[in-house]
Amino acid sequence: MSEAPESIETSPVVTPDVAESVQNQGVEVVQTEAPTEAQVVKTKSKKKRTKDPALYHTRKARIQVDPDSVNTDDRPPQTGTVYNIWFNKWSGGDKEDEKFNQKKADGRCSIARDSGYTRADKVPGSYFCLYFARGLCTQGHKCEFLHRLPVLTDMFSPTTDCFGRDRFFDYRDDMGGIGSISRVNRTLYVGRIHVSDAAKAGALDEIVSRHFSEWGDVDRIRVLHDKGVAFVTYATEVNAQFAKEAMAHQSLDSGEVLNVRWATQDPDPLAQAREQRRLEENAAEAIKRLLPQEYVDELEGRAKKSKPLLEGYEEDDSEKLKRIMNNQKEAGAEPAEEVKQIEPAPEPAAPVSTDTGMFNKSSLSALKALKKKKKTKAKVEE
Amino acid sequence: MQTTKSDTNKITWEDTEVPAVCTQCLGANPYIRMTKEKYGAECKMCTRPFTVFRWQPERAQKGSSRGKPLKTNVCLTCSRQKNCCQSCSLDLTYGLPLAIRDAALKMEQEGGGGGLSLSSSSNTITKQFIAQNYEEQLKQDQRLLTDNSVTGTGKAQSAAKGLLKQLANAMPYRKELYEKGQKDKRPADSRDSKALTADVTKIASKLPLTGSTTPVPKDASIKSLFFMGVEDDLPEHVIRKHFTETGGTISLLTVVHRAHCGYVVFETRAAAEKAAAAISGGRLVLNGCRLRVAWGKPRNLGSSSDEQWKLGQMIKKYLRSKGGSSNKDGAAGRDEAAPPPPGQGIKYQSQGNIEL
Repeated sequence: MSEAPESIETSPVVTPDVAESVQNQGVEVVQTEAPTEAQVVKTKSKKKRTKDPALYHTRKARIQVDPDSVNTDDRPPQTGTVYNIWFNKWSGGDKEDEKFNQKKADGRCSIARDSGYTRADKVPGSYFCLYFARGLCTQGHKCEFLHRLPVLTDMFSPTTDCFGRDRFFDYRDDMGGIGSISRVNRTLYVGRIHVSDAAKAGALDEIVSRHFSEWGDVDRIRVLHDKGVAFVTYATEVNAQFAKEAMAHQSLDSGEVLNVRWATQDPDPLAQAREQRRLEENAAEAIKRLLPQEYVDELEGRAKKSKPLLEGYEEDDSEKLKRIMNNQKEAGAEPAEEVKQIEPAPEPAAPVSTDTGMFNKSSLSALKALKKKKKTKAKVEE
Repeated sequence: MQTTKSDTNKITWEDTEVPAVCTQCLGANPYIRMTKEKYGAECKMCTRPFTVFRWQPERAQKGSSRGKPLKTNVCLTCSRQKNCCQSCSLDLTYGLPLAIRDAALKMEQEGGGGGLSLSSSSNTITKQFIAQNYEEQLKQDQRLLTDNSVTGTGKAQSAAKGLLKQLANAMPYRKELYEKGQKDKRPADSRDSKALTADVTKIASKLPLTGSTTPVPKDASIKSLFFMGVEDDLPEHVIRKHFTETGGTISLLTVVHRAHCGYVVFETRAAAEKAAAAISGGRLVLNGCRLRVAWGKPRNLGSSSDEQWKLGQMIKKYLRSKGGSSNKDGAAGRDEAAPPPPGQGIKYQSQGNIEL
């Protein structure tokens, strides 16, 4: 995937044993402010760390937390009277209301500062580092997981999220956790935002936008000013998954502890229709990819219309598809497995004129561009 | 384990020798070692116990994060019903995610359950009931394993027949219909009366509604552009991409879809000027959405939903009065597309109760 240069001498700050225990057990770690010289991995080239996250593959991933500072004692602080060894938790004693005693996260990821290549970049289909998203990874470039922002081409099986955790069929009752297989959810609920006077004056949109646009392409943000709640929709689900981990228990500008959950389905019929339309557009796109290119081109008017077999005889769509497939077979180009299965092509009841765009905006714009080209050509010839 | 089968509810527990898994999950190697565990886990869809298969996919390398062995997650019945891989839940025929496959083939409600679908029920018993019914239905067909056409694969194929026709007929003007429907609906919204009470004249008076990009303001501290006419389906990242490409680094971008406007603040004055220069006459078309851009400092765009909505209506009204027609560029293109064939009403779920 990435051309990670090998064999650069590294300061051995990570002892494998400690590091492994950190990855496996999820102990509480303390982030050190501004790592000292020894912790920063020295790269061979003495270039300054570039701030552009797009260039992540040209530099090593930064060690976010000093491994020595990690508390390897996985016993939780005593919060009750009895220690339950089965659940690794204290029980008994006065119960505190967890909802209002949320602790702020120990670290925070900064894509511009921390992202870089790791060992995982050599393995196609690697998962993202959960500790990186939380700003707590002690491994740096030796991590077996990706240390970068998810992009459109990062696709994972619907049964796991981008961190490789198994998803469930239903959401948890509190809409927290990993998420569900049953629905493609790109929207996060962000609660307990502190609404200050400045925020009341309209700055809240700006604050939320600034903090959440770091984790990927944002589709839309809706802030409910009076409630201190925001809904953030990302362009892809993977970005939403990453943002959820990255922003959980973080604070915006005023030191609050955010409550980040999956959003439930938007009850607004407008929003539902928009979501459905998007799904259908995706479906059309997927189907276009399954059909032979020549056929799609012809449908959308991008390619020249092939000559009809007989003069004045308008060819049926299904016949056209068959003919193109046969041509391909003759040419030796083996059509994809999927295409074979679509072969019983439709019988369109109504003749569809093939020189108008059939699918959506993209095809229409392609058509327009073609028209323009023709016009300009004609003008040039004149 | 045979004893447990005396329970009527346990009769339908799955006990199989072969999983239904896609070739992508199995990998290229035809020889693969699997472990089989009877009633090893509960199915993620119907919650009944099923036979779990585990194997090590070929692509997994030692020490990599993909070294995790794969396993089946849903039972055979559910996988048949949805025609999906037991492991990755992608469609077995086309390799598509189920949501996209369903949108394309309109086979959401197919198979068993008497109109109920697994995804809509939250009750465990209901889920099990639906799955059992479906299994029963398959048995009644008596072609469970011998004839492939009964299973989901056959259904997918028959559904694929109408596929192209549906897409071709409906795509170009679908959005228009949908918008027409919404227009009819909107005035009945109860929010209207409430929103009328919100006073946005003060907010609107501070916005550069009549401004443009041509006279570059003398105040060098202004590094921001205001834009309005943002349609509901114009994603923020499209706007961000445009301004980053034409101008430079953006320090802040706020889009309030409800208010149909937003502003972009650039890091340097030069970037802002460059971006403004790239826009001719204060008009900008993104994704078929016609925007008007002007210089202006970031302002409050309404601090409650009602205010934002009112502001949005005001801006829309203003743009309509100024631009003559509505500010949808795509609409013009769509008018040129073929009109809907008469009597060919394909009803999309997305259209809801809109009459065709």
